[in-house]
Amino acid sequence: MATSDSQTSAPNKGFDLLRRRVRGHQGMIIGSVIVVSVLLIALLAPLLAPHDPYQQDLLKRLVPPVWDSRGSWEHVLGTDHLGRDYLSRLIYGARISLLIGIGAALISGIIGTIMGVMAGYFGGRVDMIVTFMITVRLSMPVVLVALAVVAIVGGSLQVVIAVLGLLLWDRFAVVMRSSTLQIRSMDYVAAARAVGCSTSRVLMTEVMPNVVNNLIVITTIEIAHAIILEAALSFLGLGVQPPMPSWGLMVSEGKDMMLFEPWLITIPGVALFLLVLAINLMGDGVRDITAPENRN
Amino acid sequence: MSNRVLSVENLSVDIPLADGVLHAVDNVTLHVDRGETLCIVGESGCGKSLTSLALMDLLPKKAIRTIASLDLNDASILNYSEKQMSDVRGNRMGMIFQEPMTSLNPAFTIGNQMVETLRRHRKLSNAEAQDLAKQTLEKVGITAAEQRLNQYPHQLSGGLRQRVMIAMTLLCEPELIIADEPTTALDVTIQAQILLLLQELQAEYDMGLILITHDLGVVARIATRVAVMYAGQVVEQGTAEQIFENPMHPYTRGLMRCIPVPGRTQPGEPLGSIPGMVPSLIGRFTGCRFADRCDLVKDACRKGDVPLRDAKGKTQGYRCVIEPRDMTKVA
Amino acid sequence: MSEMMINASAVTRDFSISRGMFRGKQRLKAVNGVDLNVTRGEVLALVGESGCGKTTLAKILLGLLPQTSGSISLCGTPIGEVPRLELAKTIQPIFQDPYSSLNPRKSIGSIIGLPMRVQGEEDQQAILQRVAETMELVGLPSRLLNAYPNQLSGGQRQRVAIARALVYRPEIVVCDEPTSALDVSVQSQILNLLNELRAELNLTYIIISHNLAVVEHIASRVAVMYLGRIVEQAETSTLFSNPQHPYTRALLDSVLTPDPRLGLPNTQLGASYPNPIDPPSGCAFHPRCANAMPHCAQAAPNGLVNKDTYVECHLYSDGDAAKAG
Repeated sequence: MATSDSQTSAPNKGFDLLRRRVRGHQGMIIGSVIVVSVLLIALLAPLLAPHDPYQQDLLKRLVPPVWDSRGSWEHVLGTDHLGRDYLSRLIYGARISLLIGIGAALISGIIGTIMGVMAGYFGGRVDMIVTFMITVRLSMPVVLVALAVVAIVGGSLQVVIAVLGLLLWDRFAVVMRSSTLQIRSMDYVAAARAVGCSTSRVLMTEVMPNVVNNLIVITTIEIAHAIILEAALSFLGLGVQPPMPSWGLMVSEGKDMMLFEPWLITIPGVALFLLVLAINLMGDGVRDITAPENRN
Repeated sequence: MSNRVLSVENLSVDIPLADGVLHAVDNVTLHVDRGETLCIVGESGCGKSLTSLALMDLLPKKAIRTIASLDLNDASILNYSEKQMSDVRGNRMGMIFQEPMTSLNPAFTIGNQMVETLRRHRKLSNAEAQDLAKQTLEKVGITAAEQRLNQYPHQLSGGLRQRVMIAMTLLCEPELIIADEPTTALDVTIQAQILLLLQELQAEYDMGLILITHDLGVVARIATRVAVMYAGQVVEQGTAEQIFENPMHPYTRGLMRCIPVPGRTQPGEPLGSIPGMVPSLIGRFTGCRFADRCDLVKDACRKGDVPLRDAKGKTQGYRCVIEPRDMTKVA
Repeated sequence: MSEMMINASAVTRDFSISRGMFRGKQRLKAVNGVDLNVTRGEVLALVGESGCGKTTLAKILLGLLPQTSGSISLCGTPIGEVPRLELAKTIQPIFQDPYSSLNPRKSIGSIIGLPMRVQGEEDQQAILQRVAETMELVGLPSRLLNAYPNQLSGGQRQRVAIARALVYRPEIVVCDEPTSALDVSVQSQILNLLNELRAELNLTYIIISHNLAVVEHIASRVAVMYLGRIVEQAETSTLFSNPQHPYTRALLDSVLTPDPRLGLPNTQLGASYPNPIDPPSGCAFHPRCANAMPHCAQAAPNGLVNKDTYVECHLYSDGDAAKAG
């Protein structure tokens, strides 16, 4: 019996290669560290925040942060126009950003993935319908629609998550559709069908695991996207309502005092920027690492 | 002026990887004369494609090329700058790739791409370039050449696209053509036509032709001389008759035994095979690279580099410690 | 009397190609009236070039694609009536590209065990046992059980594909260019393996290939396809020693045997392969045929059956004084 060749790399070398891969991807490490920190901060907010973010102290309005000569350690990042501690608001604001980002991405992810995979796998009429829906969705200006909905229904955390979730699925659908199209033509899908797999089984065990890579990247992009959109909506007054400590709202409330109390907008602005950047870096890295090409 | 179109000595290509340095090509020495076809034959991973890219200085950035000498028509092009090399490529040295769809730009018409090549290397007006392009297309057997000039690559079949590739290579009347698996992606009947075309054009333009392939049938029918590559080295070379009628290197012999030949191999009988796998070329390698798979292996095979030795015919060389007279004749 | 495994009659398969938004759809006849019988234990080769319909025909026989018209029966039962799981145990594929026929996200053990899990086998031990047996049968070392496809060579992957196909010891295996993507030295190993397995497991093969040297070595019968039809069918030795159809002759002439004394053949095939959307009139091969007669452009030839051979060509089917080409 003709036996096959003997040289293959041992499977347990994989862990060492994984470690080497991770070490080489500084962007991902930095990004992950930041994201995980923000996550922890958000989760442990009650323990970390020095003050109640809603508590007003009209005697201590607009106190600058500690690095300014007039600042003090009692309010490390100063206070806003209602005397609320900025550090505490920042910490609780992280919760809101993450909640909205993840919530919206989850909803739109499920909607978009189902649509995209169906369109890519079944083609024909299903594809036509989904493509039409994507085109319609893309011709809608997201911010205006969100504004309109919120104006009618009223702004709140739940409404923002729902609206963003129902509007941001387009990129999921497009990417999942093209990924599925690629996978559908692979011989292992035909082999699975020949072996007797039902359609649902083929989709779950053959197609999904191979499109998950792209799904991860798009998910991170959309989480970041949702966070920024929420900030924009809140800035415009049609997102989360005061007194909730949304970072976007904080920027909005601070914009009138921009010249003399710049920390009111720079601090939440920098926080937003860092979080979004970190999420994107992390997403890139995770995708690279989990790609099967790198398993060797 | 000699007949030698291309001569390369001690060409090596090293690629630094995370695990170490991959010695993909090791001290390859080759030459081609006018009107001669040199076939470089080997299996995947033997370094034949990298060798051809190295000759044109088209290696990926990470790859390190080391050559003792590289002469095109007896003049050294070894230390040419990128600008000088780009004057050589497409002009004096033409290259034909395996997949014509990816080597032709799908966004431009055939005519566009041909005219661009012509005007890059020769001082021709647009009209003159168009005319020459049309004539060249006809020369490679493409009918309705005028219309073809206005077509895009995707509108043509694989065989036609490959003819266009050949036409583009001919535009500047090169001295040498390097064809890397030019017919592997084509149907069997088209393959024969394209090879015939290459042969005819070579005779007409008196060019040297280097043809890289894994198909021994192609080699036998078209090659003047053959270089067999294995694991980055040339393990045997000689004329086509020498290689096919009297292969010396155990790898070459093994390959010959593997292929089914209507009329020679018995249907139903097991084909010959070469056990094992190509060794890893990362890091230093001592001794013969074929040792682990060779049925004639001895201790001497693993000690030190194995040089090319002459077979009985002076023009045939093979890389083995075993002397010609000790090589057992295998049917 | 050999058992009839597959009986296909007048099978066609059309595809609708849309030609843009405002032009109607056009019909592409990928398979255009094929009659085929496969008996147990034989190795039938489907030979032809790209666009001849051999891959489409294979997919129809595997139950992956329904035919547009015509009937196919598998061991007596019409193929449309065979339950999906039963079909999977009877006929299995081996594909050409070892790099796309294995799911890169699954381990080898998982890939080979898939057929069993799909058939409802829940006993993990039984699955493991069968997988191990099958791996040994195809010459895969057991330590590769938990490896992933990208850690394997092309030859090893093809063995995995073979193992997956043989887990339930099917009756028929359809091999679509099983060795074209492999190196020469690996190709011979896989061909030898396929031959051994056929003898050991009493398999029936349908082999699709464009490599006539491989076909001559491994097939017992050959069917030559051109533009969706079988134009000639005969036992291998008969076809190679006495090809009837001009296309078959051109194909055989194009085979480059490793003989340095012979040069390149000039098949005089002229024009390129026709477009299946716009096939030539009459006999589909006539624009490229060196023996074409005026009659050939007008009417499609009838098939001529002569003992075990079949050929569709006006040179033969019109009975009378046709020049024996």
